[in-house]
Amino acid sequence: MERFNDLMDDMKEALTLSHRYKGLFLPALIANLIMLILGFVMFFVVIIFVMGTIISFSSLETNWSYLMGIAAITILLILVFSLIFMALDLGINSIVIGSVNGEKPTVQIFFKGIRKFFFKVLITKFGLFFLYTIGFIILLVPYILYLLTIGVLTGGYGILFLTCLLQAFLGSWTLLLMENEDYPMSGFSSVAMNFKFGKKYFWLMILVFFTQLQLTAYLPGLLGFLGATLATLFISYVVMTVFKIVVLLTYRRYKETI
Amino acid sequence: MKGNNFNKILKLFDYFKIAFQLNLSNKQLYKPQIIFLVVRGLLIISSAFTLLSIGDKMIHLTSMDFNRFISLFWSEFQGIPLILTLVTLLVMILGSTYVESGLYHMFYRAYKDVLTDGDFLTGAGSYFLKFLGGNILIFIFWILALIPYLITGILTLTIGFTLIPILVSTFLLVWKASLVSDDSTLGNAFKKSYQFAKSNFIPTMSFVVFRNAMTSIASGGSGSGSNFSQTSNNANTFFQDMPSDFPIQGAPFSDFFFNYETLKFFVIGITTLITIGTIITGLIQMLFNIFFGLTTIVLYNEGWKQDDLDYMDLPAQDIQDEEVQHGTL
Repeated sequence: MERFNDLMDDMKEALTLSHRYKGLFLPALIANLIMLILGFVMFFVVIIFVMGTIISFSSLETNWSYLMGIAAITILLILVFSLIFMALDLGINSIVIGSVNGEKPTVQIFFKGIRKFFFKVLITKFGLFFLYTIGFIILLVPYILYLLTIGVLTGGYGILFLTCLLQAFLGSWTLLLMENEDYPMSGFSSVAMNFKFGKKYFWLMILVFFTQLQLTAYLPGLLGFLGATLATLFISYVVMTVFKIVVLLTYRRYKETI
Repeated sequence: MKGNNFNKILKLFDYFKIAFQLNLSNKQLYKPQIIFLVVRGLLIISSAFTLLSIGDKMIHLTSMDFNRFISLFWSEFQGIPLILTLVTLLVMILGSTYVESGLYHMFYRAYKDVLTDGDFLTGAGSYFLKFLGGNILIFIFWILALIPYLITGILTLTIGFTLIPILVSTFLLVWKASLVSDDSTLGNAFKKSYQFAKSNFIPTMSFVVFRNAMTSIASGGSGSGSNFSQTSNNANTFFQDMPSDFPIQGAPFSDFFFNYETLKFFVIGITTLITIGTIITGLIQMLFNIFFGLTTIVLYNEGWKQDDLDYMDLPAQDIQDEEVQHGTL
């Protein structure tokens, strides 16, 4: 009961900060613009790829170098944009921490976070990528069974719960890493800390991420078809930013007990 | 957003706290919905099995015309299957309103800290007809508004399709709360609901949006916070589950491509699965329905009273306009 009340207070505080510092949502706007550009670029890449493939296969000799070139460009684009979005996420973490400390979001604070943590987070993400891949292979069959049983019987709630579970245990490690800037630790220590935090405040974190996911899924629909197409990422980043503040405030509240 | 509206939105979180506390300390609030869900599930299963037993009797007929089929079906359907189907339909259509009327009375009694065992039946007895009347009026309103709604939806590039139901829900948010709290007439309840939303439009709409977001489920729930449409979904499922032989009338039923025993097994399996799924999903939705129902009662009774807001020490009131204006980045 006490924890629920504290969470409500943290949500109030998060909304207040969001209201006070509108600049917190500028990265959301940037993310949306990047996504629109990416969508535009990918549209042409796909068209070129499809046209090229048709021409390539219809000619007497398949032009493999052309196909490989297009595939390489696509992979490169995905990698570049993944890095951009990763940097954006670190920047958001930085201004979120700043705003909770009472600092107005500035470009300096935004880039300070990216500069300081980019490589550490990148290396950790590479490590996690391998762990995720192994985990995915091991858990694929149980996951499909889970989807077919619990997922179907709970009308989708089971799948949503699994997403919340992952978010609760692994969704905030970059934020915690940057929050503990004064006590430097490795990326994996931060992942472990996130896991411990998620375990200790399990239902609280499930509730936080459930609310975040539900709002992210619902709000774009309010803007109609066109709005949902153009502004989904903006809305999801806005919701994510507010909930990053909530997670941070909750973490600070219970930091001593972890 | 004006400071006052923002403070009112923040105040919503205090109402959530009260609703959560009421939720925890009044476990009996869950009883009516659990019983209703189980009854509904059992009725769906028994109706499906009864219809299957009719199918069993008719399956040996190798060919027939439509009229003969209908007369044979009707002769088998009369009696217990008919009564069972009628009871199931009645429970589907009226059950949720009956449970809701009893529950709202319970919410109010819990809010007043005087909840007792007989409150559900007292509430259902006193408010069922009013709730039903209100729901029918809203249903008629939607039928009348359907064409303008569609036109507005298209003209606003589909924004209207989602925004109009939210606006309607905002103005109709507290009519049920008003009925049980003030014991007023249906007309007065609608009027009070309209006035409440009018004087607190932005915060009330924020609550409706938040509630809809939280109750819109992955399986395509209505997000209305009411279990009325859920009932309709189940009714659809029920009709879909009825064995239908029309497309293949005249063909031998023992045809290789149409194995009746397999179909029967499939229908039994699917009906059971859907029923169990409906019960589980219903139980999860129940948590939200009760929480947001309680919040609505709290909202109506405490609803952003001016005195309350004046003395509130909300962080938003400390916000300096300059800071908001000059927020960089």
